[in-house]
Amino acid sequence: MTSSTNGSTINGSTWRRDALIAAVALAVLVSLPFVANKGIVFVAGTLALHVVFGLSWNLMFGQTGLVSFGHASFFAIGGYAFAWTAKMFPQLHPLLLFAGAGVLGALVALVVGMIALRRSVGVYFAILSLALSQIVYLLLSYTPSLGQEDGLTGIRRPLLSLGLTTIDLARGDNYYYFMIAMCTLLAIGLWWVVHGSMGRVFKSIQQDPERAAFLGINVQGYRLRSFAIASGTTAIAGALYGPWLQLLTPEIAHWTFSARPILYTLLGGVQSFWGPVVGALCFAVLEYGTRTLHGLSEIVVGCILLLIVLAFPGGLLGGLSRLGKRMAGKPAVAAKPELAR
Amino acid sequence: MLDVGPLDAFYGDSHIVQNVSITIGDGEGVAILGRNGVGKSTLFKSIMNGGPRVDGPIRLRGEDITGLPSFARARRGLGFVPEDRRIYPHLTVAENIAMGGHAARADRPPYTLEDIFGFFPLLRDLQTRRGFELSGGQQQLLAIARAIYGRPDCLLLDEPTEGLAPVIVEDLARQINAFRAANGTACLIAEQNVRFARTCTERLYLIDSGVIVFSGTWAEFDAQADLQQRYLAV
Repeated sequence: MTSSTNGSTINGSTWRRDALIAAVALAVLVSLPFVANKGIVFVAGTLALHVVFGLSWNLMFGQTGLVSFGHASFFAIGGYAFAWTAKMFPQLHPLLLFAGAGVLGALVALVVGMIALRRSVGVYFAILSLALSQIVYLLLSYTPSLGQEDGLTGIRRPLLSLGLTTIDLARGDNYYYFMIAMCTLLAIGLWWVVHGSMGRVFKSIQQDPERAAFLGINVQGYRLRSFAIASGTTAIAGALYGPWLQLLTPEIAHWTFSARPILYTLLGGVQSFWGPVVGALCFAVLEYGTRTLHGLSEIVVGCILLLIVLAFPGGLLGGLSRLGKRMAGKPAVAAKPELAR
Repeated sequence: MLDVGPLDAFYGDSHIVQNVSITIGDGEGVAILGRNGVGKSTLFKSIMNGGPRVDGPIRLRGEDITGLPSFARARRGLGFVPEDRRIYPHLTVAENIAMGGHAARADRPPYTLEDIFGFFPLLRDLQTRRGFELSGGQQQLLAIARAIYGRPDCLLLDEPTEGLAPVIVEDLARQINAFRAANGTACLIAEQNVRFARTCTERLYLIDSGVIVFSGTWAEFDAQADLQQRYLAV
């Protein structure tokens, strides 16, 4: 921690490097429908949502030091809120509904956070967030108008009117491209938060909340902001998920789904902005590669994940950067011994 | 300016600070002397609401700040420098100082970096160095500079000379005095270094096992020869 912290300084090189990585990733995603079959395109679209899911969780964990075990509840809140309102009020503009889902997710986080973050951080917050996600899960499973355990079915991909032209998202790969565009915007938003002055304050709180408070930083206020931003973006990702799958089940609020962003982050690396992206990609590849090994798939995936986590304690990117340093022959930056102390 | 107590502070069941009352006038320098473990740091953390359970009133410029969170106290003008300094290791000296701006208010804008370098010229040469590349003395200077940046009305320094070389301590005393003389900032210093405390303050409290055992000017302190022997000698 003391030595290099992922170069989160907002300088030209970080900006350019990240833009380049994003451009390459986008080029791959955009060209995918031309070269790959429908199955792979579906996996890639889902991956884009999971990337936002993972990035927003890591805004809380890696950046602010808040551990949530119930992040999936916001994915579900956004998903169900969008699907239900789109069904009840089909005349509303879909972009308005997506934004509304995000605002609802952020508002729920604000209310929950005001209570849960008051006294409890660390494990206590983790458990409270887990409880929240189980409450959401049970509510969804028992509410008749939301399809109970069978879920909400027949969610349509809407018509997107953009003033001059109207795009039918139900046709061809239109919805796939729409999702990629939305996820890119959300990821850029999260990047901007992480690298801007608010992200610096989050980082300061993550490192030492007491010091931050002594310097006049409203620690609770910023924790709440981090929680609301992460939850709002996740809710929008959840809203995008409904029309993509055309079906929503309460499973997306289950704690096993909350474990996903945690897994992505730990797998890819906490310290880097790209950690959850790499983790989600690895996980998707593993899942896709083992999909035919019925019953064995979880065991294989589990074993591989265990191996990676044991071999690279700082995640894949952490291991990679250490490897790079060793190859370059640079010793890890250590504090210089000084005379006076 | 700052009226503390009568105050009691606890860590769990341990009654660390017992019925302590302290007042600091506008622009006044006050020292708190005592051996290790008598409750000096706990008293400071109590004033900032930064850890112990506190029972008793604290008033800042007549306003009751009891129950306010730490950040709100910092923004009302208490510039706290904790004993362990808590420098940001990965930020530069200039960035570390600028972090103090979070305590600034609309009607009390922070100093400029130039002002700070005027008070502590040593930091000017170090401004692009990162926190972990500094010596203990440089870190202490930086921690004080960071606390000053937001223009506090009262500086709270917890053992600023701990672990510093004697030459550095003398410079530090001179610079703190110059700053306070120019800006009329009040100051509360917890110390074991009597010489340093004497150079920086006008009055002192002696504290032993969480209780105040003496309060007065330095002349009164000197008049009772046994005080130093009884409460400060190791």
